[in-house]
Amino acid sequence: MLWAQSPLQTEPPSHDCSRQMQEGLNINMTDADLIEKLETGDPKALGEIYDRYSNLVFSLALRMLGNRQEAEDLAHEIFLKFYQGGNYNQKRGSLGSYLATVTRSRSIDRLRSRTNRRQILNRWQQDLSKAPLNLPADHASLKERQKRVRDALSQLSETQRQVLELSYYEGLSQSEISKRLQRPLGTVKSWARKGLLQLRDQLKDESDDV
Amino acid sequence: MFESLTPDQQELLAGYALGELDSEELSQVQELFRQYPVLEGEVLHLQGALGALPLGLEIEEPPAELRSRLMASATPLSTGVRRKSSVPWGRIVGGLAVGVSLLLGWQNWQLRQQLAKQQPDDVAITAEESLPPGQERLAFEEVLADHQNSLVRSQGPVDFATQNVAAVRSKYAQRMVLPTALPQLMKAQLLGGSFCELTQTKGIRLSYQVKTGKTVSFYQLLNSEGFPPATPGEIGAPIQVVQESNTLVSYVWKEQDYIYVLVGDLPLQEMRQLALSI
Repeated sequence: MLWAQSPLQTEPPSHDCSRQMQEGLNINMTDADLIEKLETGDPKALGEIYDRYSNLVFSLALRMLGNRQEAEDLAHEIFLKFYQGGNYNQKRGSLGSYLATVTRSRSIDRLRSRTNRRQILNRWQQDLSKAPLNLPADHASLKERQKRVRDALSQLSETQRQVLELSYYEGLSQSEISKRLQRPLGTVKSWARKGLLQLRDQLKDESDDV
Repeated sequence: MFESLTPDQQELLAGYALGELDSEELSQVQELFRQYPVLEGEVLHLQGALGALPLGLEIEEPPAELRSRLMASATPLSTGVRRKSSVPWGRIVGGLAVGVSLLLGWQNWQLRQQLAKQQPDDVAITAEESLPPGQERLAFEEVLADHQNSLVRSQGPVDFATQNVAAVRSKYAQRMVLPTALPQLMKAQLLGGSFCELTQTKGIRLSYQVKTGKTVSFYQLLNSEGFPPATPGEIGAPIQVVQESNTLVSYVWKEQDYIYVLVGDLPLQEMRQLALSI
């Protein structure tokens, strides 16, 4: 089974059951149930979706933007727009994948708008903003999955990890990474490709388990 | 299958997943796909591994007041106000294999655009070379159709006639979230504005008249997830050309919440100058 078909199932919420009880939401509601409620304009469903995914959205925004206030604003914007009528379609992947993809895409937009607009527009680079957040096996808890990914990343060399992270979190092309690190382009390409192959090998077993 | 590839071939596929191949490498990967279609699935595994990176982040909890702020902003909506996506995903996405094919087509298109960009301005760019693939093509065709419809309407190209961009903003601020100031073309005369509902997004169409009397449309569209923006390129460079009329659809830029598109039946160089005057 492909990771792209593995939905991000949410963990049973453990942190705020009292709030859910007050808000009349069943703690065992699936994301699909919540989205159905959201379609009726019920803000309580938004609250529950926020509780499930705000850590992911905020952490990713903070990593990419490097500024807590901006990350807060972006997280607010993403959840509010989602409530007001996002274009999420369950057939395309899990809600977590969608929110992470939107967060990354919006963060890259913000990063780009910080620098000279036209300099950026004159640049042709592969936009990885649509790279899906395809998560490992859905029978594992989110924390377990996070541990596996961290373990997999720790197996990479420092340079391999650095190049992949610059590409993913800062949206840099490999030419730009080469300049940033002052290393030859061929070396950077090799680090990125070998690093990605190794990461794929590390995470492959999980996908095969599904 | 993947394991039976040579290390060089595996690295090529990784480079493909990263979107960082040169034209020669891309040809090699396309040949691999032709020989072994199953490898397209491997690309998804590689992209999946890349996409899992956020799970490696240290979790940072947002401040508690963010939830309160969000819930205060999210006033209850009446049923039906929260519109379900009308995007024909089935038609657009069409399956993983097709997605990979689109990606291949997209990279080819990018390469062609890179080559086209290196040519002098007066070199004709044919429609075939300029057409982006798949969903992007559909989306921009709709923008083009909207522009062309605006030119033949009995009531004229604008719903709200004014020479003041700020007045257009005020007119439509209730219908969509707009920035405090709308960008405008400096080398053309504003005729007015119209509100556009496209299949995948919505926005404002500002209609301008240039010195030759022709009307161009400058769109400010919501950067909807369903509306695929072109990869940023040279300002004013065409993303689509209608050969019979020489009408150009030029992507201008994408900025946070909006995509800006310029459409007009003008020579390429003139179109670029207009875009640069924004």
